[in-house]
Amino acid sequence: MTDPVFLTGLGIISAIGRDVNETIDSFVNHRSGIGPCRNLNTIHKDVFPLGEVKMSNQELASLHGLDARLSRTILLSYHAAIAAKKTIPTFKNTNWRKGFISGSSVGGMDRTEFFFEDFCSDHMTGDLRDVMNHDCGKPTDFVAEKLGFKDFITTLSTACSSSANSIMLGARLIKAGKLDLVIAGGVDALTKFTLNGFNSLMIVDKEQCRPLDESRVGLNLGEGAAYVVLMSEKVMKELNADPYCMLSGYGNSNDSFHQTALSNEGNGPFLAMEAALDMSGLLPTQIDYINMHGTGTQNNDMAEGKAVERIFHPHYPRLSSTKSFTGHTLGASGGVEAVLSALAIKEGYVFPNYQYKNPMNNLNIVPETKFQKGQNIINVLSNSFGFGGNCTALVFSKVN
Amino acid sequence: MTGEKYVIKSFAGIKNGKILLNGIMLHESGQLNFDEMMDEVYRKLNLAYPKFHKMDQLSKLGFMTSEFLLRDQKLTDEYEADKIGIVLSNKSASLDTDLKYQSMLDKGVASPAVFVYTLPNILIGELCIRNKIKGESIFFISDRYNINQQVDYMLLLLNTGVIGACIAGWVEFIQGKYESFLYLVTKGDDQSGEEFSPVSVKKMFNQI
Amino acid sequence: MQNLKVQIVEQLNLKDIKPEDIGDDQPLFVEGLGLDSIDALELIVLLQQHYGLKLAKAEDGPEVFRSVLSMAKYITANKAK
Repeated sequence: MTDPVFLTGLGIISAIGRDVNETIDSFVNHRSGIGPCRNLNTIHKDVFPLGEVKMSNQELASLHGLDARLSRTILLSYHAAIAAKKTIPTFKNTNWRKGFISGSSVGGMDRTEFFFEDFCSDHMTGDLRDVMNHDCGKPTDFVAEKLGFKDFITTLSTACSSSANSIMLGARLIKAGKLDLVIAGGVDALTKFTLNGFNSLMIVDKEQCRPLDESRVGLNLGEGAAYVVLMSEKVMKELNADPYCMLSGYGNSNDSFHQTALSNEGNGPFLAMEAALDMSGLLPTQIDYINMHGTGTQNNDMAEGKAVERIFHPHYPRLSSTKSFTGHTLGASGGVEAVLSALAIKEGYVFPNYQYKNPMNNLNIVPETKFQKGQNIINVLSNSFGFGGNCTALVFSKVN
Repeated sequence: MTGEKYVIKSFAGIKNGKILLNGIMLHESGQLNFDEMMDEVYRKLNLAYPKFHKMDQLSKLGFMTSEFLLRDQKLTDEYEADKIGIVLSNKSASLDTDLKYQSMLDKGVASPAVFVYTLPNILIGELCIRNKIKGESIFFISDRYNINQQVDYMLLLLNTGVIGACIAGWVEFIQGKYESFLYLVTKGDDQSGEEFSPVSVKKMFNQI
Repeated sequence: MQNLKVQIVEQLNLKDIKPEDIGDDQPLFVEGLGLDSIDALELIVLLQQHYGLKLAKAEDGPEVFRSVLSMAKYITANKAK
């Protein structure tokens, strides 16, 4: 393994909680965050269950002294990023180069939806402030400014692997000696745009999703934000920061098959996982838990299952899809699941599927069904696969 | 690996109705708009790739540029599929298609074919499918084309052996305005191409 | 059915193909037209947009969209309702 990068802090907000404590509490009490739509104003309100963050824009804004008219993406991103930042011990070294890397698919689009309706009926109406933050990069810039992390700011947009790729990029920049401290992850807010879009692809479930179950019919959309703090060993020691774990391996590859579906053999996922394991220097048998991408669509779970079989058969580690609790948070999912992976190692958690009955045909993939703690979790593999064939795998390991 | 030399084997771009390969103009579409130009070039090249017509304009732009870029290269002969990477950036992500999709939504139609393209990295997917590329890929969004940052990132990947060759550049399409620039980087020496550096990339970009 | 063929070519952006070149009973998804899963979804949108018909189950898709003829039959059968 090349020089590891240490994960010393994290911040998260999703349908199952506004911070780490609430998030874990949801797992302890087996409470899914997916339910009837409350916040999003859509014609599909009563049709599709969603993983909504249980805070209105007003509540998020008030909590942080921000303008409630800001894009929900900014509000969620800030909430999680500032939580991550607060875990960094105060330091005086102003020479350290700090980076903020955020992945998103939606950007500030939620506000644009408000603008568009007014604008379409009358071109003289619609508040332009609503579209100012539409661009994918605007939420990133806004939050970076507030964090004071300005040496390197960038936005990645590779669909559902965006925030996993952010974490990969952050680690690379630290290893290359270009940055000392990085907050990396991602965010996405629910919008009518995405709900209608995914519905047109007919991969959304009208009920609570059933990832990795043979009877699955689709995903539930969710929203959220999650960021991790990454630092080199040197910086960690100087700050006397206590790591959750280290990022010991990562891999990215392109499935190269179809814009929105994975190849039957799960080639992209296979290559990504193989590369991540290779870099970490670990054998498949050393992985204690896999946080699957596990969206609940027929295609993903089958392809991912196939890829996992290709690498791990016959010794399958414990695995699950936490999207059954949070919903599919799109651009934020890699970050959300990285946070859960770090917690798994630090606290010995194993996360379950929310519900599971029928094993997938011809595959030996059986997810955990009960939340466990105090387990000996040394190495965790986390998968995130995005439309466009972009497949990323991250390996996290306990620090000796 | 570090110590290895990298060269730019070719570069191509599409802008203002012109298509250039290695600094030479190979096609000019005069007064045609973007869609008409793409149709014209598709016919001229006899592409026989029906999927092209389903792509959104950003993907057509990037795809067509890559057809010229890779025309005389034997990329997949020389490199393993999973050692060829793609590093792209632009300013507007998929905003042009996002707007198109949104206006269809407002008329009560959710078109799956349009929705598919409301992500900039679908363009990367199209390039991978066409050229059977399976290596790392990434799409950066930034206000202006940051060549230094792009070159830095590519060197990171090349020097650590993650990839042996890379297609990179800037592909931007918004409301009828388009600009694309792609270049191909591989291992090599002075004989095989221009040395890979921010200076040479900038020089080539300015020729588009 | 000629109308339907024109609509299909337009909806699916089949620029290389002329409506009259599509055989009435020619399989749409196996060979020839090179259609994929997204095209199948677009055909569902076509039924809805042009004929006000909603495909009840996605599983019915392969049968309904097998050819222009099967699509026409479905439309005739269901439009009467």
